[in-house]
Amino acid sequence: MPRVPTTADVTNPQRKGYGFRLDNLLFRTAISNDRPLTISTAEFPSQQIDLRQNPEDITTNIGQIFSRGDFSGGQGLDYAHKRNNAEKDVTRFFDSKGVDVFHGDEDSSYNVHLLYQTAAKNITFSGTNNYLAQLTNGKLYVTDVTTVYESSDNGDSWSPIAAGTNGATHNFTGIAAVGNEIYLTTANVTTGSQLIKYDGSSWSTLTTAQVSSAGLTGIWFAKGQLFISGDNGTVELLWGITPFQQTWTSSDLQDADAIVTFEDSHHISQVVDAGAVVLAASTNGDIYSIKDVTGTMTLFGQTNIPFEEVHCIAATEGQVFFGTKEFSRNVGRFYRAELVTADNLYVIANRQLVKEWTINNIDTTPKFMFASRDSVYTGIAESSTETFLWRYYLPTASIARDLKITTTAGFVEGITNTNGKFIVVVSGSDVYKETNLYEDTGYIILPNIDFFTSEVKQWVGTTIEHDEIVDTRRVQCFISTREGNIDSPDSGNWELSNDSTQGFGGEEVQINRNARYLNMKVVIQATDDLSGTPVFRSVSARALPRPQLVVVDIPVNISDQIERPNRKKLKVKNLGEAVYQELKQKEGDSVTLQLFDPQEVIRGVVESVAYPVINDANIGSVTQYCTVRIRGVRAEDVISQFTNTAGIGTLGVVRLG
Amino acid sequence: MSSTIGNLVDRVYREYLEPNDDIQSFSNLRTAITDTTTTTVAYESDFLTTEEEDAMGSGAFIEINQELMLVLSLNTADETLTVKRGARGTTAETHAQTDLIKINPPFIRLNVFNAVKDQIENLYPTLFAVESQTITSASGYVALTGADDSRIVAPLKAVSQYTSISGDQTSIQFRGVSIELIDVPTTVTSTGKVVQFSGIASGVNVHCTFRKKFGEVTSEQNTLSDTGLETEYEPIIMAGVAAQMISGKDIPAATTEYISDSIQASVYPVGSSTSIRNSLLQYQQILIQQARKDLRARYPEPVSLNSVVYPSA
Repeated sequence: MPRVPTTADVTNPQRKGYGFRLDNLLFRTAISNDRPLTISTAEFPSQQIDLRQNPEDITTNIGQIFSRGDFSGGQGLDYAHKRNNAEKDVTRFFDSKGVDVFHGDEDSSYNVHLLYQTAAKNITFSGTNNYLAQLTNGKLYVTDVTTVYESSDNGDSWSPIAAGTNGATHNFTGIAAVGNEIYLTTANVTTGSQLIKYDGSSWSTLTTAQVSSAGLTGIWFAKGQLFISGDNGTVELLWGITPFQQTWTSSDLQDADAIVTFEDSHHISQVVDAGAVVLAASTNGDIYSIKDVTGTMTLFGQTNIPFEEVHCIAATEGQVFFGTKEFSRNVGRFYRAELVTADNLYVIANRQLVKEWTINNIDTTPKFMFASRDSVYTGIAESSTETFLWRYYLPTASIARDLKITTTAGFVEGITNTNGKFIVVVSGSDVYKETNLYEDTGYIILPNIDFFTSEVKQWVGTTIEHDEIVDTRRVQCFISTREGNIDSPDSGNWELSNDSTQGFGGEEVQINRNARYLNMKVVIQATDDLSGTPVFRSVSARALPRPQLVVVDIPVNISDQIERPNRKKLKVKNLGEAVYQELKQKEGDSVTLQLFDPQEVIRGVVESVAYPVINDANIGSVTQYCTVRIRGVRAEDVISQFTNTAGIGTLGVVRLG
Repeated sequence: MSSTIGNLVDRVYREYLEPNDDIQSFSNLRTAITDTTTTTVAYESDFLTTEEEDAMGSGAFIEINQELMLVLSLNTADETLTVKRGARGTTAETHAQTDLIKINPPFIRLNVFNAVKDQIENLYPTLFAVESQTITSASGYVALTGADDSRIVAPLKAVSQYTSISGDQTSIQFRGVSIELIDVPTTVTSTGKVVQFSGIASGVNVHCTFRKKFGEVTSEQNTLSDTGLETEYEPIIMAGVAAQMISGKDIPAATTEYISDSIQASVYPVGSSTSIRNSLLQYQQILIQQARKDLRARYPEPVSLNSVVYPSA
C-alpha cells in the first residue's frame, strides 16, 4: 500500500504540490472552479436551554444580545448563563453599591437609582454599649456608657437625658421599648446590676436583686414579656418576666427562675418574637425556642448552628433570619431558615446561607437584625472606613448592599426606621440617619455572560438606557473581558464603553473585544448636585460569532494521480485509497490543519470526511476527491475566504493526433 | 546548436516534450551500473516525494538513458530497486552515476531517438546533403571509394583549372567540366558509384560537388556532420519528431500550450481549430521549403543530358 506523505518525509511541501497538512500528514487538494476551498465563519452552537424561558436573552439575526432591565433578584450571580440557572437569575446581578435595586412598591415604574446618604448625628459615643430603642410615640433612645440620649424629631437631633437622673450607676447593657416606656439593664462587675425603667418623664430602678459578678447583660421585649439576660459569674441566664403590673421584689431574677442556662463565656445576643415562640439567639451557637405556656415562658426546643456564634436574629412572615460569626474566624454569615415543629418542639430548619462576608482583617459579624414590612436589614463593616446595611428583600428573596455608613469602626448594634428614614447605631461611633441627599456615585456589576458557550465571541457593542439626564449627572457602562474582574469594582481593568451625560441613552457603543466572557459595570453618578439621581433602566451587550471560529471545507485529492508542480502527472497504484483511509481515521479527531495557500493554521476537529466523489469531467479526465470538513479556531481576524488554485481537474487534458 | 544526435534528442525534450514546468518525475543513479546484468538500481530519493517514490513500485517502468527497466520491487529504506533489464525491447546498457532515472515516462527516449532517426532519413530527397570531392580525372571511369560515397546520388557540378584538352595548360580561372555519375555493380567498386569526365585530359584534379543522402543515425553519439545535416535543419527535425511523438497520445494542456507557444514564437499562427500535431507538420513544411530555397540558391539545378552534367556556361 502506498504511503501517505508526512512532514518528516517532505521538505517544502507546498513546493511539491501539497495543499495542506493534518497534523503530520500531507495531502493534496482537489480544488477547481466548482469545488472551491471555503473557510467560513461558524455559527454559534445551538443553545442548550430554551430561550423562551429566558426572555431577557434575545437571539437576533445579528448575533446574541444579553439584556437586563430588572435587578430586583439581588446580588451574588457570578455567571449569567449556566446550566443550573434559577428562574429569578434573569433579575440578578453580581454586586452593587450605592444603588437601590429593589425599588420596593414605590409609585413609579421599576428603575435603579442612587441610594440616600447617611449622616452622623454627632453624638460621638464614649463607649461601645450603644443600644437603640424606638417607642410607639416615635421617640428614639440610645445608650452610651451610663447616658441615655433621646430624640423627639425622628433622629435628627439627640440630647442626653440629664446625667445622673436616670439612676444608672453602671454601664448600660441593653434597652427595650415597651409601648412608650423603655427598660434598661446595667451590669456591675460585683453586685447591684440594675433593671431601670423610664416612662417618658421619670426614672425608676426596678430591681438590683441579682447578685452576680458580671451583672445583667441584655434586655428585649417580646410577647408581652421582658427577656432579661444575666451572668452570675458561672452561667449565663435568661429570664422572662412580664413588666405589666409587675411588683418587683428581691426575689426577681433568681437563678432558679431562668428559662435558659448555659456557660457564661457566651451571651444572649438578640431575642425576637417568631410567632409561635420567642427565639433567643446565643453566641454559643444555640437558638432557643421559648413558648408561652399559660403565662410562663418555657423552653420549647433549641437549635444549634455548628461552629458558629449567633449574633443576631429576626423573624418575619414565617421566616427566620439570623446572623452568625464563625467560631475561629471573623467571617460573618446571613442565614434564612424556617421554624418547624419536631417532636412537639420548635426548631430552626431548612437553613440556607444567603450571604457570607470574608474580608481580610475586617470582622464582618452581623450584630443586629431589623425586620421591616418588606425587608430584613443587618449591618456589616466592610472596610476600616465603610459599613453597609445589607437588605434582604422579602418579595424576591434576595439580598443586596444598601445604605452606606462612613465610619472608622464599629458594629451596627441598632437599626430602625422612622418617618421613612433609617436610623443606624454604630457601636463606639455614632448614630447615623438617612438623609435626603443621594450618594454621589453607585454601581451595579453584572454577571459574566457567555451565552452558554465557551467559544470566544466578538463582543461588538453595549447599550444603556436611562431616563433623561439633566444637570451634570451621568450614567456610564464599563466593560471587562476578564472573568474575575467582577470581584474588583475598583480594578483598572474596567474600560469605559458608554458614557451618557445627556439624553436617554439607547445607542449601541462599539466595543470590539474578542473573549469568551464579557462583564459590565454600570456606574450611576449624581456628581455635584446630590439632590437628584440619574435613573437607570437597562443595559445590554451584543456578541457575534468570532471570525476565528471557522468551518473549512477542503476538496481533497484522493485519486491515484499525483500532480506535483513542474512535473508531469504520475499515477501511483492505490494511492487514493491509502489517502482516503488515512482521512477516515482522522474523522472526529482533534487536529491541527495547516493550509499552505492561503496560509492558515486552524486547530479544531475533523467534523466529517465525505464519501469519495468520482468526477467524470467533460475534458476527459476521471478524478476522485472527497470533501473534508474541519471546524476550529484560527489566529487571524478574517471572516471568509474563497480560493481557486490549480489542482486536480484544472489541468486540461487534450487528445492529439 | 547540437553537436550530436543525443544533443538533438535532448533539445526535442527541452523545446517540445518536456517544458521546464512539466517534466517527468525523475531521480538520479546513486551508483553507476557498470554492466548489463546488474538488477539493482540505487536511486536518489531527495528528488522525489513519497508518492513519486511509491510510483516506482512493482510493475512500474523506469528509464535510464535509452534503456527501460521493469521494476520488480521497491526498497525505500535502502533506496534501491530490483529491476528486469532491457524491458520492452530496449537494450541493456551501462549507465553512469547521476544518470537520470525517469519514472514511467510517457515519451520514451529510445522512441524519441528513433523518431529523430526517422526524420533525418525522411528528409531526402526533399532536402539533401552536399559533398565536394577532388577527383583526379582518368581516361576511363574513376571509382568513388569513400566510406559513405554510396550515399552520393547525383553530381551538381564539376570544375577544374585545366583549360585545354590538348595543351595541358592551366589557368588561374576555373572552368566547368562535364561529369557523369554512374551506378555500377558493387563488384566494380564497393560503393557502386563511379564518375566519368569528358573534355578534359586525364590526370588532372577536378573539384566535384555531389548531391548526397543523409547519413544513417546509429547512436546518440553520432555527430550532425557525420550525417550531413546542416544546423538549420535541426528545427525541421525537432518539429517532425514532436509531431511524431505526440501523435495519438493524451498530452497535458501545459505541454500543448508550451508547444503552441514555441511555434508561435517562430511567427507561425496556430489556429484554435488546428491540432497541435498538424500545426507542427505544417510548421515543418514551411521550414523545409525555406531550406529548399536555400539549397536551390546555393546549388542551382545543373544542365544535364543523358545523365551527363554539363557546365552551365
